[in-house]
Amino acid sequence: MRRIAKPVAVVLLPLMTLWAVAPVYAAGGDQMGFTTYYFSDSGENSVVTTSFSLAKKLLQQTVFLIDIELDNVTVPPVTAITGATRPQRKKSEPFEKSRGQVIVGVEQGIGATSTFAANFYRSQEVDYTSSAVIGTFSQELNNKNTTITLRGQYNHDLVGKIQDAGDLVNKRKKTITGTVNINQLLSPTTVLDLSYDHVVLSGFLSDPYRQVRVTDLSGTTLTDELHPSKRTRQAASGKISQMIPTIKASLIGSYRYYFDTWKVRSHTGEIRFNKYIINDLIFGVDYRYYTQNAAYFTQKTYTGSEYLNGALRTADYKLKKFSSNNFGFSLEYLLRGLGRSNPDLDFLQNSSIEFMYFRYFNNLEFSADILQASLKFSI
Amino acid sequence: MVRTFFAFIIVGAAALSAAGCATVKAYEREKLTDPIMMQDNQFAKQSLEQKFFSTREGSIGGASGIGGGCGCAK
Amino acid sequence: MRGASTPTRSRVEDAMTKQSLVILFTMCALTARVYALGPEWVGKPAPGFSLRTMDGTATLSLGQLRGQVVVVDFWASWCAPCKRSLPQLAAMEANHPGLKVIAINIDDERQKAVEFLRKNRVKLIALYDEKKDVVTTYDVPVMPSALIIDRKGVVRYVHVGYTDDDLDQFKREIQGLL
Repeated sequence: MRRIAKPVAVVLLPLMTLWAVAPVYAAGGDQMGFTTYYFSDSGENSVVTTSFSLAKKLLQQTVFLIDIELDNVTVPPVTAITGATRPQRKKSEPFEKSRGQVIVGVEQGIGATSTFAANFYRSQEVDYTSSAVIGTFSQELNNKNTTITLRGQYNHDLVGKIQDAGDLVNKRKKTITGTVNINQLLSPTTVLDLSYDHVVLSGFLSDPYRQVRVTDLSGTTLTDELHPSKRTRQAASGKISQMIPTIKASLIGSYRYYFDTWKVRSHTGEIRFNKYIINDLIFGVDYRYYTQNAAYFTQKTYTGSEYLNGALRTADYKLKKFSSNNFGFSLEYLLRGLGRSNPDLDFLQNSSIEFMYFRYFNNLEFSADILQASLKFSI
Repeated sequence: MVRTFFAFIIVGAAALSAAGCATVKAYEREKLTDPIMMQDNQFAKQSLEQKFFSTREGSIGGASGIGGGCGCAK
Repeated sequence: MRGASTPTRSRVEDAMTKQSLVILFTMCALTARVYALGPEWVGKPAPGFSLRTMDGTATLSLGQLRGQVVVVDFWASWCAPCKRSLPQLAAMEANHPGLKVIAINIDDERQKAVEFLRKNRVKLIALYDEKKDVVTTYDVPVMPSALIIDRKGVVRYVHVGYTDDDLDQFKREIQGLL
């Protein structure tokens, strides 16, 4: 009950504030959004996330952006894998942890067809800090039929470990990301989206809490996992969105191919169907399939004294060979319907409220139920 | 690694070439602005989904970019 | 002694990367058309049209307005800048005798346009281009687009898109024609 009461309370307070403030604040082109997200998995880990976003027009072509997110993670008293953070060490009592994230930035229109955005990202939790600067440039071509977006991001992370004595030891991790995206209108009802991501990581790429069982002549020992200090990751994906006007529905299909220098390769296929049930109510159903192979240094067991020294070893299940399925349902109500009968509620024209549920499970005996409620408020 | 990058370039170039043949006029884009076509373009929803999968799987990437839809100016 | 060394893999990759980027941007250049600054109607007679009003009770043709300065504005209920442009154009018409503003709507569903006009309290002559024949003839590049036509039926100015900064220019152009 407490798990449900918390997100409800977190959402209700901003909603009440919003109802009081919004009509006064209203200005053309501003957007605000609230999302509450509740996750629980088969290991009884739970995460509650609440996010708030605002896009405020400052000048004709200048928009200020801010996005704030708060996570609260609860891990039961066994070694387990959480959703929003890294695996926790064994503890005899439940472990609770909070994370705060903020993204601030400015988006500037350049002429009629170009946009540049600069963002700063900061995420903070007791034993992990991430800071990033992000630059994005987009260019519209062919009378806005084609949009090319280039994005660069630099992350500097401090990966910490809370020692048994309570002190924190940090190690550094650096990530450089480049993304190219092409969005192309194919017809009045069809959109094609192509993306390519290139990510280079260096530094401490292991998890400081995760340990590996190593067996040698002297017996079985638990030792910290050891990943390579460099990793290059690439992903190419395509998506087609097709409107089906005759039945007031849309079909969105996507595929992603991923590979990296740790020899992990994966395929992701997803299909999503959305349909208007009544005028302003959209029902959505989603299926996603994922399969990957193992990293080159992943083994079922680590035998040999070399694994107690510099030989690579991992306890990260994400580097194993596995496949997963994800089924999802959503219901979104467009609040524009309220404005039809009551002109005073017309400011809800571009707002909506959505409930989503999805069930995730893989062949490593991990499953999760995710509930998400969101309010998108746009003035 | 290099092959995938060039495959993307080739596919992207093909898409752009197709752009020369297919032009959707500004006044034909009403359906593209329908909320039903923009279901997974909302920033908050997409970033939450991306975070969920990236913390459970060994892959990243594939998020949508900006663009498409309204032929509106300013 | 070794001969000319085989280029290293990284050099080959660099060269291929550069070539691919050149190909990509060349394709962009070939397929990208110059962004139209507006229909090429300036100085030409405005194509005639005859459309029904939004409520369907009357028909209006452009020829009936010869002798007046006319602003023909193409708009849609799904066009965000139209929410700002239409009320401004209505106010301009009210303040300038001899000016007529015709707002031509191109929504797939007439009802959405009717609701838009009601909610935004727009008092203009609104016509419905149901088959999109008129907007196709004028071939507007973005929404909204407006053409200012003089008393002789010649297009004198074209406005592509709308911002609040465009309002003063609209007024100057109209006052010059009145």
